Amino acid sequence: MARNKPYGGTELAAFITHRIAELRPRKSQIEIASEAGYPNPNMLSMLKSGTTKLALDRVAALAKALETDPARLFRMALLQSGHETTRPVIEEVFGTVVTRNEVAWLEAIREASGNTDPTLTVRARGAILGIFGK
Amino acid sequence: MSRFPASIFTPELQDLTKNERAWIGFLRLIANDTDPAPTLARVQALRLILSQVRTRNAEE
Repeated sequence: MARNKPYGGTELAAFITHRIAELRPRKSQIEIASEAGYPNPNMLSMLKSGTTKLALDRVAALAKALETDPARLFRMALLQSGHETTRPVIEEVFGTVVTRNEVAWLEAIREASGNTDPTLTVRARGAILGIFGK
Repeated sequence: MSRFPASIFTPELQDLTKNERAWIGFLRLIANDTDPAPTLARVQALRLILSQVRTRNAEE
């Protein structure tokens, strides 16, 4: 990791790079930066390269601008900031931080199980691995 | 069934149980935190798994 790019190669830097590329046909990087509230559009380039990290107070606005899930971006921002130990504390105090997709998974589990709160058995683990082709 | 507080990000979601946290934790683990979408095919496979679990529990 280059000294001038302390956050280069982090999951968040890669994710932002990928997401900006995905949105490019209909939204420019300058527009995304503006929507996220960055007065300087170069901030996104700095986030992509890992020159700077994503401040937690920017997560919600940037997630909206990137049209992605704020909970997922929040988790990546915590990891990027070296706050791995913060995540379980936040979850203990405020509850499990779940993404919209995870909400959908939970709703599917509840519906399919008839709200019986099924245990994640070894057999269920194996079947889930199968769903994801592993 | 003890439930944990709901997320601050998804207030519409009811609180999670310990088992549900285990399911979500496992999904994150196998998907490398890529937040996979529950596609129709995946949900159908999930329903099949859980219906087998329910059948087995009913037989026991």
